[in-house]
Amino acid sequence: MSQTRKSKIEYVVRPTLNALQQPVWGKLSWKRQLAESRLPHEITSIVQSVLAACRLSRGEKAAVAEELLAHFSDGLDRGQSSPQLVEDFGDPAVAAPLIQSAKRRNRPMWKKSLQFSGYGIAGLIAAYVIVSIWFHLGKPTPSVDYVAQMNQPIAAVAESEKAWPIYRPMWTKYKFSEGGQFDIPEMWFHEPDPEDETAPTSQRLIRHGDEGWQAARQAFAQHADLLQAFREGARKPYFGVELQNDPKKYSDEDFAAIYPARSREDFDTLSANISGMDNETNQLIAESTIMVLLPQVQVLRKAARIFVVDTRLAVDENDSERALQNLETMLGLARHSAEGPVLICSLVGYAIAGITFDQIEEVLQQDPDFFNDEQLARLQTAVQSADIRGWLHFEGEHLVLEDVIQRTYTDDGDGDGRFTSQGLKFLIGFSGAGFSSGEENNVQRWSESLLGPASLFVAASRKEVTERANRLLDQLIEDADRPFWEANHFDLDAELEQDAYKYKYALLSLMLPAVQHVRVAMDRSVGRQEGVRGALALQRYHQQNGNWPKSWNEIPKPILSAVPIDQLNGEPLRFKIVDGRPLIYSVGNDRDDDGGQDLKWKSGLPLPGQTTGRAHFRPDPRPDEERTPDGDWIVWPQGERN
Amino acid sequence: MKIERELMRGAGPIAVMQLLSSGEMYGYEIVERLASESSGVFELGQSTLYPMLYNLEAKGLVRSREQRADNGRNRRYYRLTVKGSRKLETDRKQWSSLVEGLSSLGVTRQWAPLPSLS
Repeated sequence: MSQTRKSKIEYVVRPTLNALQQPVWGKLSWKRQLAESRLPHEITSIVQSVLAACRLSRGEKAAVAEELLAHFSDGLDRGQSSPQLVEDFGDPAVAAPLIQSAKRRNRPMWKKSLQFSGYGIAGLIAAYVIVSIWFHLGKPTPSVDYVAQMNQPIAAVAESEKAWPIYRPMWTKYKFSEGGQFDIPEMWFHEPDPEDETAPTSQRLIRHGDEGWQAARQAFAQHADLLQAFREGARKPYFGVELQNDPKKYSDEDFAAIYPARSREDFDTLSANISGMDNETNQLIAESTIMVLLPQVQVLRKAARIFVVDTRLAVDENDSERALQNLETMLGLARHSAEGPVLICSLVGYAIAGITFDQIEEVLQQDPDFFNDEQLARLQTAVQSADIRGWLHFEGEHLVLEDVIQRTYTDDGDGDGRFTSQGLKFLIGFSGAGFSSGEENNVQRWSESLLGPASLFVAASRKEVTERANRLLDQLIEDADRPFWEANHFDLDAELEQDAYKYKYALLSLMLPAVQHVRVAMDRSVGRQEGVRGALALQRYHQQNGNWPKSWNEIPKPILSAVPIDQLNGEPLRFKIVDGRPLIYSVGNDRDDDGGQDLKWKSGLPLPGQTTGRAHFRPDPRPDEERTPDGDWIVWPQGERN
Repeated sequence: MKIERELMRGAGPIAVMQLLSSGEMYGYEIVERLASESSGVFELGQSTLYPMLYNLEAKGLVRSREQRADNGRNRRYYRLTVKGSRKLETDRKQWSSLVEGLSSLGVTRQWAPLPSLS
């Protein structure tokens, strides 16, 4: 073996192996070394004093002990006495710290790194424990009743202005509200599959010529009081139902009308155990705005469908006045639905408006002269007075957000606070990832307790989240105030999906609904409204003059107060006469006039969303034929749909 | 003559390195040689010597190895590293300049080279 290699083994390899072994064998060796040294007691005693005062690893102590014992042993071998050696050694209290610091300095790099990592990890764990305590100590202290704020506008309305007192007795009588299972079975026509008699039938609203048409007439006669109540109520400017997060807060009269299939006790159980969470969190959720139920809103769509059938019956009976009243009623129902402060109410409103526009089209396509000029003028007024753009409002969403923030954050009294453990549970409960029962429950609880504090490092502060929510809502409102062709098409989803904000503002991602969809629903509804307004004006012009105008400008102001506008480019809607009937169209997604050519795939199949305008109302024009074929959006007539 | 602790702190390591430049030694041997070859000037207490050796080792100036002695005990032998030799050379020059300076000032009687410890 070469000298260099031998030297390497002795000075490098062996000490390293020793360093590795020392932590394991050290304890066995250093005290035993003293005991087995056979050196005088005063010597072992001084060595023990030094080592006891050193804060070194057991292995390091063993190495020092071995060296000191060898030193004293050498001294004795040279003929020195024990007391002399002890005296020469010096003060153990001085030696111990010097040896300790020198030995520590002498530790190999990996050992030092390991030690510092250990300190780091211990420090982090200690810090996390402190943060965890801080996190779990924070409690939300909701102080504002946002449900009351939501109700303020309706609470300020006089009873005589509300439809609800008129609807209420009929809703109670017929158990009309959601859950009451109200139905007029005769209003549905079940269309059998001509190729397969055993296949389930598809269902649509009954019309003249269908089997069961006469039975429908009789059934509707039996519900005349319900329909009349809707007709009268829909004339009122306001629906007038106040919202409650706890249905038990409704008066007996209201409760019976809104929750026909429920007893008050049902809601005791519901609010006490929303998602298997602790009582405090349950209470936070139960008293929040997100617990406001809207059973009265969805059923307005059902009411609109009843009026579709009754309008068909009225046309069949040549009762134009009733048909007209029905159409006015339907627009009233749409308005009443959209009165609700949250966006789902606006969506139902747009859906009912769509059903109404379909029905107006159906009547005029079947018999253009069914309504006289005065009736057409009334219908025009009803259509153009529907403030569809105004139905999109964000006040309710704003209040819901404010409420959720006050239930998930602490309050420092100055608009700021930190995210809380209960807030986390609140959001988990809201997102539908609520705790189940049993072992899984415990695992999730532990996970939440251990991992929850980490959310403090990620989640925005109360002030930050409030400011961002306000900024986003301001942008949405500003954008919604512009017509589609001038809008910035602020993309809320993309904004919230940005990496920098995704987790920090997870609360907003969770709470803000798909606003763009509502906005597009509004744009399509306005686009349709403009088409219907134009169609009614054209029909009146035709009735008065016996011919069709060549342009909108030929129609006098009393018949058409303003040219109907294409929502995709801000220019007048196009129209032409096809087979003696007007065809009104928008330039569509590609923004060019294709002569009223329907949007179709190259195969000739209609494009999904073509009729409703869904295929056209996209923020960016897509002339790319592969993705969106060439064509226009036919606004009138759109064809049978109900 | 006993040297003050602060002076020893500066001079001790160079004395030990100078001693080790002649070959490897174990602790007691270093103490013994320092005392005898410096006429008792460098009578280091072991409470000072061993921390000094550990520090020199931590700085990479000396390196140690174990070897079983005749008395059956494991002795730790120290030797100067290449880095230690370079450091010794630098320190030696600095000490020479220092002594020369002190001599010029009349602090020491006359300049004399450092006594050889080996």
